[in-house]
Amino acid sequence: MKKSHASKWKRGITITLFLLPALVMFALVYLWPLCLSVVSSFTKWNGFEPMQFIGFKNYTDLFQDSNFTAALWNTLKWGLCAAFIHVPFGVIVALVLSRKPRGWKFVRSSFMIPNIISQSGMAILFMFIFKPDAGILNSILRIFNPDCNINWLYDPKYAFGAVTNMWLWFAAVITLITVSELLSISPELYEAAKIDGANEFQTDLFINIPLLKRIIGTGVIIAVTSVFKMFDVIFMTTNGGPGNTTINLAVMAVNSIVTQNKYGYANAIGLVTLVLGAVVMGTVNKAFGMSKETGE
Amino acid sequence: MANKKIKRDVSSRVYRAIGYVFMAFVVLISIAPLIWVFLSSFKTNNEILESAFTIPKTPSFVGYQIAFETANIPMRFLTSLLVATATTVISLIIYSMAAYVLARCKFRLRGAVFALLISSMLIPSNAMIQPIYSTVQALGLYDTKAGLILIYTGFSMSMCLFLMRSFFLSIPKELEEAAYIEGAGFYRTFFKIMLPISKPALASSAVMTFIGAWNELLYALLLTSKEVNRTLPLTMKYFTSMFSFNYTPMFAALVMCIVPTILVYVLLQNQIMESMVAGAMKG
Repeated sequence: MKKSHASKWKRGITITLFLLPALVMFALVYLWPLCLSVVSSFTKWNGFEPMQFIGFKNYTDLFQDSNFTAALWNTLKWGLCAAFIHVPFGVIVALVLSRKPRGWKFVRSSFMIPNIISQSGMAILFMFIFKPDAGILNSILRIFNPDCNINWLYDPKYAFGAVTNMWLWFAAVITLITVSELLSISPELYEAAKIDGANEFQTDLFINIPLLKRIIGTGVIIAVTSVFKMFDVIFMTTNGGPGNTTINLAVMAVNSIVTQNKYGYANAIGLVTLVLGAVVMGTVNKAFGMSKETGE
Repeated sequence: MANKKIKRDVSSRVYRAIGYVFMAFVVLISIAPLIWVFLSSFKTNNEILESAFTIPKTPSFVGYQIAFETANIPMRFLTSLLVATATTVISLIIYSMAAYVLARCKFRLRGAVFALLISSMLIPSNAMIQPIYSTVQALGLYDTKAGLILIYTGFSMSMCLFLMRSFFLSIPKELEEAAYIEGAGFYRTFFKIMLPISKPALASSAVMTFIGAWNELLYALLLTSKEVNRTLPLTMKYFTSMFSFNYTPMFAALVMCIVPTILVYVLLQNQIMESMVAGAMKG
């Protein structure tokens, strides 16, 4: 009895030791900054003078700010694009590659490259592609219509679509995690499906996709939350413009700090993003049944 | 029966053909723009403006010369490499430990701790510039590589925990039980048995952490000021403002910034992919 008590203590210490570094990291990089954020979001603060408590004024101001409404709407639209186009595309590529068709390794490696390159590099790459005069996109379109001179990133009609296409198809991260999950599915299942006369489409639809449910859910959370945070691509190209057609919450928060010194206001925007992310995570968790643990 | 089999084969073949369409699309969007940038970087400005498709008549290195002279690319490369590597190593160690305990040990508050750590994914780091900036400054880490490593390690938390924990959960428990029966302690079981078979999860976590740290722009911009602490992505912003009307050095700068990353990836990818596949087979 005494021994088990002692070993219980030892176990507790071990567990704490294993968790401690991650908890410290969390406290430093997330918890403390978040507390600062929450507190300062109720204040008027420019970073130099002391905070001045103003209640919910930052929040009520936000919803009257047309930039904010545009940013919120764009952030949501991009989130939907991530969940319903970006992730499915990545999963489809994973399903194709997991059968190891000819050239699959080459495709896998190629697909990773846009994700290896920094976001800022991709942004510049797309700036070139979208250049009205010398860009490759207009050059291709000129084959069909010699007068084509669209300014993709700076024409309000096209800017949102242009920024979206700078990340939408590059879903290699989703493909990577899905492929490694697919390779761990027992081959016997496929044998059984084959004996039952299932073709490959049916195998994907009725065996693979249900088994991938959790990893797809993970993918949706990863994709949507990272799109909510998207900054580099916009900062490098349109910086939210023209007007506010490509602004999102992250860009708006950074601009409030850098150009207007409105720290409390910026931190209020950050908290709205946080709530938005929490809603997505809760919804996805429920929809994909991810709270049920396997292997327990 | 035979008829059914033929039907199945035909539909599978059609399905595969559609698969090849997807593969072609993936290769096109991933590689074609890079080849175009690469070719363009050897053109003169006039050639670039004349036509987007032509291959440079005589390769010109003017763009590279200008780009190389204006920015310290080799040093920034080393800084980026150092920061990203340190971030990756630290992340793998501390998060694999946490993920293991969260997957395997039953204790009070386990669910709460996991939810708390994973919630870091929701915290919009890009919208918390000012609080993070003041935290880093308070720790005395402003304008140091350690400051960047700290922040980037924090940023990789949710991704690493997610991947590693779900991998640990998928390992059959009998494995550890066997280890305990043979007299291995907790630490030994973790480091000698669990970690080696978790290679796929470790590899994917490592790749994602490395790429994340390598590519980060905003905090690199805000938390550093000395040239030795500046990372590679910052060079990009510099070039867009420097050469906005002369395309050649911009193409050249872009090539110089992305080629090293691609090289590193191509060199490492076989190992990464192999360990992932091997791990999956074993698991």
